[in-house]
Amino acid sequence: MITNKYCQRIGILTLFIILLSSYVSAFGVGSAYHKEYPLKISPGETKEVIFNLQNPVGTDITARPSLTKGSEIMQLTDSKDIAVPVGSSIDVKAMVSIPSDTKIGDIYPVEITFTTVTRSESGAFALGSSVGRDFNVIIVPTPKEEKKLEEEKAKLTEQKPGVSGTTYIIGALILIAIILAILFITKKKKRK
Amino acid sequence: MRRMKKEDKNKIIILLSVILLIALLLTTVSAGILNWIKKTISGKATQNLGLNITVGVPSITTVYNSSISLGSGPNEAPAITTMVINFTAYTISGAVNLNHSTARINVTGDTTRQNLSCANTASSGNYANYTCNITMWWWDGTGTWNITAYVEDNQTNSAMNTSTNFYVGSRTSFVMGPSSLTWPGIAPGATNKTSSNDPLLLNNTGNDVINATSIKINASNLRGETTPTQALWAENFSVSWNTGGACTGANCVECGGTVMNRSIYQAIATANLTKGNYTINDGSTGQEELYFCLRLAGSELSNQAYSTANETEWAWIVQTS
Repeated sequence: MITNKYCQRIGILTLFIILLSSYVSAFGVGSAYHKEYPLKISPGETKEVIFNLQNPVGTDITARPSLTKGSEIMQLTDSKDIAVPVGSSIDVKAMVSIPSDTKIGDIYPVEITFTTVTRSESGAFALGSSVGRDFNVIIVPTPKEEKKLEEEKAKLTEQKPGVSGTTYIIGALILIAIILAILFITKKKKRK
Repeated sequence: MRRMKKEDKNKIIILLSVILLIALLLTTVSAGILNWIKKTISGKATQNLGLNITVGVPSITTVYNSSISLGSGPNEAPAITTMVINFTAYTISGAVNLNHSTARINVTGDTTRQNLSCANTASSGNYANYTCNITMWWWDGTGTWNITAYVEDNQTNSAMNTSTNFYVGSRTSFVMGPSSLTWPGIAPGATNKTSSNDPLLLNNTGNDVINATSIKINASNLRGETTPTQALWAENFSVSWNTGGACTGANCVECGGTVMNRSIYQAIATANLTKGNYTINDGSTGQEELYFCLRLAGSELSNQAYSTANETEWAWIVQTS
C-alpha cells in the first residue's frame, strides 16, 4: 500500500517535470548608444534616443520597457507594453533632458530593460527573455561654449611660439661675445 | 705697452658691439635671413611655385550611402542587412574610358565587407555612376566604418576615395531553446537531479558581446497548483555554463553552479556570449550553453502539478545586457 502510494507520487512529479518549459524567444534591442559609445549632451538640451526592437522569427511577442537607471534624465515617450509582431522592427523613443544648471563633466548612467511578457500556463515552467541596454550620458559644453574654449586655447598657443633657427643664431652670437669678454678680462689680469 | 693695451681694449669693444648689433638685427629681421645666407653661399633660394598638371587619370568625386541607417546596429539574425552605396567617378578622357568591371567598394570596421563588382548605373560625358550592394552580418561590430570606393580606367590608372564613413550601432539580442526541459524520474526528497535534455542553448543574434556576469536569470518558485504552499523553491535550483562530473552531491558540475534566488537577477558565473556566426554551431562561436539542476525536491511535496502559473510567481527570465 505504502509502495503504491509512493509510486503514485513519483508518477505525478515526473508528469510535472515533463511539462517543464516550452518557450523559444527571439528578441533583440538595438541603439546607437551603448557602454563604449556614450550620449554627449549639453545643459538645457533635450535629445531623442531610439531603441529599435526586432522579432525576426518565432511568434509575436509583447515587450515591457523599464527604466532601471537614469530616470531623472530620461523618460520613455510611451511606457506601455509594446507589441512586436514576428518579422517586425519597432522603434521605441525616449527623451533625454538635461537641466540647465547641470555641471559640465557630470556623468549619468542610464539603463533600460525590455522584458517579454510571458503568460504562465498550468503545468508549465515558463521562460521569458529580457534585454538590457545601458550607456552613459556625459554632460559637455554647448557648441558655443566649446568654440569659446577653443579660441582661448588657440590664443594661449599663439603666446608660446616655438624656438626658431634665428633664436639659436642670436643665442650663439651672444655666447661668443660673452666668451670673448671673459678671455679678454683673463688676459688683462695675467698681464698685470 | 700702455698704448697697446688700450688698442686691444678698443678692438675688443668694437668686435663685441658688431656681434651684438648683428644679434639685434637678427631679432627684428629674422624672416628670410637664412634664405638670404643660402642664396649668397649657393646662389639658390627657395621659392613657392604653384604648378597644375592636368593628366587623364580618373577621380571619384562623390560617395554616399543611399540605403538604410545602421544607427541601431545591423538587423537581428538570421536576417542580413543590405547596404546600397553609390559613387560617381570622373575622368577628363570621358566616362567611356572607365573600366566599369574594376569598380568596387570595401567597407571596413572590425572586419571588411566588400563588393568587387559594382554596377555601372549611368554614364554621361566625363562622369559615371556606380551602385554597390554590401551585405552586413548581424555580428558586424559597432563603431565607425570607412567606405573605400575604387575604379580604374582602361589604362589601369586608378582612382580611390576613402573620405566617407558611417556609424554602426549596437544590438543586444539572443534566441534560446529548446522549447522544453525535462527531468524524468523525480521523487519527493530527491537531490541533485539534472535536466535530461539541457543545455538551454543561447545564440547571440546581435553584434553586442555579452561578457561574463552579463547573462542573468531571475527565478521564481514553482508552486503546487492544488496546494500552493508547497513548492519547488527557486533556491533549490542551480545553473551552470558547464556540465559533467559524477552527478551525486556537489560532484555534479551544474548542481554546484550558481544557485537561483527568487526575484533577484543572478549572474551565471563565467557564462558569456561572444559575437559571431552562431550557425557554425560549434558550441562557442556566438553561443552559450546553460545546464540546470534541481538540487532538492522537498520530501514534503504532495501529488500535484507544480508550475510558475501561480499569480504570486512569474516566468523565469533569462537576461542579457
